[in-house]
Amino acid sequence: MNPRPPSPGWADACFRLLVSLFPRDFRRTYGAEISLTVSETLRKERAARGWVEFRIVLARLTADFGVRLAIEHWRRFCTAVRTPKRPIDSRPSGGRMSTFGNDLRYSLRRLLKSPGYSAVAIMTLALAMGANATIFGFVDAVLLQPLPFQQPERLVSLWESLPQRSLPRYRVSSHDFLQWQSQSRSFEEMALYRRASFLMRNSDGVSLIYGSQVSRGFFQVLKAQPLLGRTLTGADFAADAQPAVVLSHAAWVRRFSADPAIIGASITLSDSPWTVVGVMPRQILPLAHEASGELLISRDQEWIWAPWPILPNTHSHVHGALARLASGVSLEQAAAEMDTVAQRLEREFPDSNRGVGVLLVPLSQEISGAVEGTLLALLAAVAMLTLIACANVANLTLLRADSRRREIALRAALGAGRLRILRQFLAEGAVLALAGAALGLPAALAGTRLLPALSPVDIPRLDEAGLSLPVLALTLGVCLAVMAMIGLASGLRLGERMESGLREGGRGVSARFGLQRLLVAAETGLAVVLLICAALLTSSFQRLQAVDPGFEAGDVLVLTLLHSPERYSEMHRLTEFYERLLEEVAALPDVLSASASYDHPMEANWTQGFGIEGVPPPDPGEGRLALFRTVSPGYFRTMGLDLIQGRSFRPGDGADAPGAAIVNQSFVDRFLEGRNPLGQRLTARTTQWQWGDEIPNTFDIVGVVGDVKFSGLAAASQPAYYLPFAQTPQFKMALLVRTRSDPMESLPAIRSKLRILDPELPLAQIDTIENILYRSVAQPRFGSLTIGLFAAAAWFMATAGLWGVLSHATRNRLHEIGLRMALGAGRIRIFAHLLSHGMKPALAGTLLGAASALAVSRLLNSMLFETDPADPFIYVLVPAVLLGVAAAACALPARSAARTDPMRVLRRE
Amino acid sequence: MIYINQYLERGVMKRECNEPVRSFLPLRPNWFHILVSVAREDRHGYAIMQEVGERTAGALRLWPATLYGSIRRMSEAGLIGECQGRPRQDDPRRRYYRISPLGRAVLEAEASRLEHLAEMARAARPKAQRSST
Repeated sequence: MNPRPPSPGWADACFRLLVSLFPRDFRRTYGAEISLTVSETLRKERAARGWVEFRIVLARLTADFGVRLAIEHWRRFCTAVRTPKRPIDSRPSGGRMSTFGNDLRYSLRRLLKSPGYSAVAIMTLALAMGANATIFGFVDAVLLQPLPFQQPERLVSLWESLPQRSLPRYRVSSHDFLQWQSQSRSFEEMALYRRASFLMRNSDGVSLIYGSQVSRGFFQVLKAQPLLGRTLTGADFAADAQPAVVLSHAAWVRRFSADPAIIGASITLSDSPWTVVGVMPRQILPLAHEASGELLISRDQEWIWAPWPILPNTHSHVHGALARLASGVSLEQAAAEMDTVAQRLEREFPDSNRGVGVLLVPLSQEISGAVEGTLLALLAAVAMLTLIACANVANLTLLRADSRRREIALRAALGAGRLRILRQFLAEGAVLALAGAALGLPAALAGTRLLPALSPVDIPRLDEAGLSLPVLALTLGVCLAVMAMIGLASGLRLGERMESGLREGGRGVSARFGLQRLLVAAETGLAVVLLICAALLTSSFQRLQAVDPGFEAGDVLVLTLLHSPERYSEMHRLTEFYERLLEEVAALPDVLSASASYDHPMEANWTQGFGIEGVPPPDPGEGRLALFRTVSPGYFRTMGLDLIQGRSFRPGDGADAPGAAIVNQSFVDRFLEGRNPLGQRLTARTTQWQWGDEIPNTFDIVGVVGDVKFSGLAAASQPAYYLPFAQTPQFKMALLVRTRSDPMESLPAIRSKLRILDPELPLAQIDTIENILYRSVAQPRFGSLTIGLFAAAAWFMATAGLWGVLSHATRNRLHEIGLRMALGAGRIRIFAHLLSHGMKPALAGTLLGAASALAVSRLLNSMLFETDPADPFIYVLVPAVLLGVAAAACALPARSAARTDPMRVLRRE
Repeated sequence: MIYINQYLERGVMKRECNEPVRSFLPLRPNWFHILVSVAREDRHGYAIMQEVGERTAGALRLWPATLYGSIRRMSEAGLIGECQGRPRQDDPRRRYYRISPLGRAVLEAEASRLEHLAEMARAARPKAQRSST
């Protein structure tokens, strides 16, 4: 007996269906074998891959079929066109056209004869398919495509978790990481990394490059293969090893002109020689936490990876940790083991580890988790838009089928069977769907480039969006669905049409327009849902924008400066540099004030532990942590921060003076409740690792300032303490300059001052605080803008659909209207009757839509800022406006019908 | 539209000229790999797919519809043919493909063309690189 394939699953059945769509000759020769091959491929892939990868295989198979179907039908069509036509008497009886290709040609001619219908249907479908492909392109690139590492599902990111201190995700200290590494068995490899900045010196001067300092095993965790050379190995981490560095693809191309001879070459980083040992391929993303805590993974980032031997430190929580799960270990098992390890550490190191847990997050979720909600909401919105577009086209097709009943009946009378006519309708659907896709896909390609440009937003991997295979497969699926829908809508009640069409004066079989009105109601309902969601998001975005950041953002220039530790190894050089710089910049004609700070007001990079003298140390696990910032005198004036109590920093708060500190209101509320903050004494070890004990450890609180939204407008205020720059200087500082007019105009003058003071000092970043603030709300803006656009399109389509159905219905009922008027019905009554006839589906749809929106908007809760998902104002306003416009759309045909002359209508009938 | 198709089929038309082997060159990568696959032994479509995937270490993946589209056009061009012999236990739906003498000649011509190209590329490399490799 011959072996049979395994029992086919749903995927096998779908592909067998696709095989049946090939032209007959191809299908007969190869159909059975293709089905068998697909079935074997699916079986093998299913066994070898995870579900995510298997879905990609399915998408690629579908796209492969789509392309081949198009090619084979095209060839069949062209062969048919080139073949000389047989004489009529030699055709098979019944004159059946034998190929789908001929049906397509006939459909094309029919559609060209009704350009209005075709244009509206094609544009509607193009809009829906374009929007669909654009958003699915984003979703595919950001959420569905696996990360460009081997077995990415085994990669996890590790965090410390301090729930008692409201810090569910806290960066890792090297001490804890080393303990995790030695005590856990769930991971194949673990690595620690932290973001770093390097000064790169070449013949053009000094420039800044960002990178990661990584621990041994970083590349082994990722299992990333280099494009050139090698990655960092154990020997590179030895104390006496020659410093080695790996470049990102972008750094290699832009900084070294993609020269392959760079491997083995020596480059100067932060004034010491480093050897380039490897270049990573373009798809390997840099992984490092941004200031906001999110992973930075733009693949076009110039980046370097440098080895970093871990030194145990319990205080410095600035690292990210990565691990690869061991084979056969699940995330839950690893999390359970890490819980045990954390409990053990709590007992061993009660001072530093009381209440500290471990949080494991899959790396893919870490990268795209923040935007998942927005993208899925957009996908739902675009799906609704597509449904509305389909309902609209179905409506148009139903109306057209009604007016084509004569043609249908004639063809039936000439011997065309029901299936034959249905096939013709399907071909028309295919032509419309393909035309819609042909217009929609280029629009989608433009959309994937344009939308992020229109509303710049740092969504990881968004730049990779485009017309990928899954996107094409989805569009093909939508095309097939549209084709089937148009075929069905045209073929509905085909029997009645075939019989009644030739009867003179026969009115439309769907004179009551039941199905059309149902479709209009559904369209209106969906449009209401979309509009309410868009209105909620817009209102939330407006509230977010109205939040006071705590400082005056207008006209402030930010320049990030990075000093070489070698050249500024003495503290006084750094402080003197800033004293002179601030003095000279402040003297510029357009400058109101200038100051320096670490970080700038929209950054929250450094959280530092501290003590308060005279206040008993808190229970371990309840330790005091606050954002640490070092600022020059004049910072609070430059940023427009309100001084609530005490004084600001003075030039006298120098290295030799007693330590001074200023805290914010949240700090007072959290740590100094019921005490007078002025005169309290903080103890903190901040930049001692750079300067040793040259700088003070204790600081008197001399002032209290207002809160600043360091971590974004939507985030809660965090406690922070400011120390004077002269007492805790930093190599990386932000120069903040408040100007009288456009801050960018002062940039050349500031740059020339910088060049005079230190010609080798590179400018890391030039921006304005206003821009930084604008970008911080880019994601909600992107969401509300895009959903708003879809909602507007949906509203337009629903209104147009309502108008189309009502004007067609009115035209069909002219005879009845004429009769009613002849029997004495007044014009107002006719108008009111028609208006109510049209408004009923709109009203029903609106009510249903508002009720559904109430349920759907709960899902938006995480995207809303201080906005109630059931905001009664929006739930009244949106339906009211929509019903108003619907009434206007109904009034137009009703008015013209009420104005008709009954005698003329009756005479014509 | 017909012109587009004529353009697409230009390759087939070209092959009907006097030099049948050279008219196929340069050979499409899919065709080249299919020919290599059936050059040693007769294979069915799924076996071709597997063999090409393994030989190229996954660099080239022939998906089923593309594979059979290529097989059809290669059969039409006379590069491969179907053979009747098959293992007794095999599924009757499988068809086995064999390289034709023309196919073998085309494969050899393409292989020497590629070799020639590789030589040229090697010669064009700077001296230092050649010695280091």
